[in-house]
Amino acid sequence: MFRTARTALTALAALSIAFAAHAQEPFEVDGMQFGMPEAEVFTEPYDGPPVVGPGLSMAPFLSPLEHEGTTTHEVRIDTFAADIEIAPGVRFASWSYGGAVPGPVLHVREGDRVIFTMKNRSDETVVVADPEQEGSDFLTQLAEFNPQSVQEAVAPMPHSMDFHSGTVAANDKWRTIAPGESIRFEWVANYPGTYIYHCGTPMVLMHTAMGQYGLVVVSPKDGFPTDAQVDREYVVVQSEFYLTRGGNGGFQFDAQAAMNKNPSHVVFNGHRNALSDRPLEADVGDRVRIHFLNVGPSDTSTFHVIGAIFDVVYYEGDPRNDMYAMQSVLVGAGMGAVVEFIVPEAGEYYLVDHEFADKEKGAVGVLRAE
Amino acid sequence: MTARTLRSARPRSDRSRPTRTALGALAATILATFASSAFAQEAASAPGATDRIAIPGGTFETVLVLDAAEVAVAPFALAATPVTNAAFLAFVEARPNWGRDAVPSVFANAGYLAHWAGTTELGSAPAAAPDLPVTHVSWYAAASYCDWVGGRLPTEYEWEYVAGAGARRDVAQAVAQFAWYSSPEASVRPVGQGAPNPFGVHDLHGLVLEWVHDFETVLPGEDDGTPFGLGCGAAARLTTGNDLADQVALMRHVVRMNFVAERGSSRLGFRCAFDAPGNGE
Repeated sequence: MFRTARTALTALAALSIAFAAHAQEPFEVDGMQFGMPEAEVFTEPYDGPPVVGPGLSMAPFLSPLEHEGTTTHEVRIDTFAADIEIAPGVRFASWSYGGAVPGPVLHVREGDRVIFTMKNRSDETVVVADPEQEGSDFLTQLAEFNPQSVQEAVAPMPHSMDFHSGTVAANDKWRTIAPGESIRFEWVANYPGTYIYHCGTPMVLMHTAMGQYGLVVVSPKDGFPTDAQVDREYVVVQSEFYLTRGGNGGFQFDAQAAMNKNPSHVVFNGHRNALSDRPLEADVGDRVRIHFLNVGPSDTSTFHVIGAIFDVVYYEGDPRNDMYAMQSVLVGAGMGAVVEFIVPEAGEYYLVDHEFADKEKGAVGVLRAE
Repeated sequence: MTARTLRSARPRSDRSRPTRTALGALAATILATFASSAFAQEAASAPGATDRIAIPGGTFETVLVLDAAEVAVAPFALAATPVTNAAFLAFVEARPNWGRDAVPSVFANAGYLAHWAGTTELGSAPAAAPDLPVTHVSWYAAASYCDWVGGRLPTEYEWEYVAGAGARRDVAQAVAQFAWYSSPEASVRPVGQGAPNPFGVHDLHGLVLEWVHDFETVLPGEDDGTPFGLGCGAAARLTTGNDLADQVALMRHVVRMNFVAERGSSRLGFRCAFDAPGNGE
C-alpha cells in the first residue's frame, strides 16, 4: 500500500514538471535553422510498411533528389529485429532499421527539413523483402536484391534514433522508446555531408554492432563543383560485426570481441559478397562518385580503390573540405567522405579497406568497367 | 528497503510518460485497495506461491554510481522461479478482472496475454506452455499477481543483489548474458531447469527479462539532462568499472527503465518477492 502510494506521488510530481516544460523558440544563424519542436512519444496501431517516404534507397543506390530548392520530407523508418546473413553461412538476429543492415539511405538537400517517425516494433514480426510492399524505393530494392536473405525475427528491446545530420538536443529527440512505442521529431539538414544515423541506447556498442545504423546524404544546396562531370553515383557503407557461434546453430553477439575491437567480420553494404555478387558498374572514362560511410562501431577505415586515384575527396561530404589526388581516405568510426575517381580502362577495380586485417575479414567490393 | 539509494525517485520530465505513469499509479493505488491481503490467503496454495527462497540481508556493489558504493538489502524472500503460464492462469481464473477481455487498457494494453488461446485458455502456442514463464504481462498485472499471492515485485536492488550472487564479476557470465540479448527468442524453456544460483534461485539470467517494482524510478530518464542521464555518451560514467560485468548490469537497468508499465513483451516476465517476517514496510 505504501509503495504504490509513493509511486503515485512521484508520478504526480512528474506531471507538474512536464507541464512546466516548453519548446525552444526557433532561431536562425547564417540561414541555418535551430530550435525544433519537442519530440513526441506516443503509441499507434501502425502495422504498415516499415520504411516510408521519398529519398529512401538501399545501398549501393542513392535516390535522386526530385525537388528544387528546399522542402520538407516526411520519413518513417521503424526499428525491429531481422534475421540476416552477413557472409555465406553466417546468420544472426540483427537489430535493424527498416529490416536490413545497413538501414535505408536517406537523401536530402542542405536546408531540407525532415519530420521523422519511428515505431519500435522489436516485439513483433515485421514483413520485409515483399515484392508487394510499397512505401519507399528501399523496400522495392530490398525485395528485388535482398543480399542478406532477410527473415523475420523478434528481439524486444528499447531503442532510439540519433541522426548525426541533425542539430538538436539529444536528450529530447534521440530519446529511447519502449517496444510498442513510437517517436516523432524534426531536424533540419543545416550542413551538407555524409552522415551516419544510429541507435544511441546503452549499451551503444552493442546496439550499433547489432546493426542499427545507416546513412544520410545531405547534398550541398549549391551542389559539388564536380556535379556536371559525375557519370555514376553509389553508396558504400562499411561496418564491423562481432559474432560468435551460438547454441542453436546460428550466430550471436560476442561482447568480449566487441570490447576488444576484434571484429569477426568487416563488410561493405552489410554482406561480405554484397559488392562482389553484384559489382558496381561503370564505363571506361566514367567519373564515379562514391558516398562512403564508415560505421565502425570502433575501427577506422582506410578506404581505397585498387587501380584508381581519388581525383577529389570531399571529406565528410562537404564541398569545402576538398582534397586532391588521394590514394586512400582515412575515415574514423561514424564518419564519411565523398570520393570521385576516373575509370582508366576496362577491368575490375577492387574497393577495399587498406587496413588489411579488415580487408581479409571481408571489406572488399568490386567495380566492373566495360 | 535499501540503506542507500542513488537518488530519490526522481520524476521524468518526459512529456508523455508522466501522464501515463500518474494515471497508472493512481489506478494501482486503487487497485491495491481492492486486492488487499484478504485475497492473499485464498491464493496461498496457488502455483508459485510456495517455492520461496529466504534471502539473507547483505550488501552488494551496484554499478549505478560514479564511485563504488555498497547497497544494503534487508532480508526478504524471493520466488525460486519466474511465474509460469499455469500459475498466472490460476490467477486470472480467480480474479476475472485480470482476464485479457476484462482488464482496463490503463492496466494492460492490447498485447496482454496475446499468446494465450483464450481468456482462461493457454492453448497450443509454444510460448503458452504451462511450465514456461508467463510473458506479455503488464507491470500492473505482475504487481497484482504478487499481491494475490501475498507478496510484491522485488525492488531493482533486491533483484540485482540476488542475481549477482557469486557472479557479479564473472566476465564469462556477462558475455553469456549479452549473448542472450542477442537472441532472446532462442531461450524458450520451462522455468527451474539447470542449477540454481548460490542463493538457490533459478533463471535470473538467460530466460526472460523480469519486471521489478521500481523499474522506472531507480534511475532518472535520459531526458533529465543530469550527469546521471543514460543517453549515448553519458551511460559509461555511471559504472564503477568498464568491464563487461558492469556493462551488462548497466544494460539491465537501462532496458528495464525503458519499458512501459501497461505493456509487456514476448521476453518479459516476472517473479514475486516477499517481506521477511517483521521486516515489512
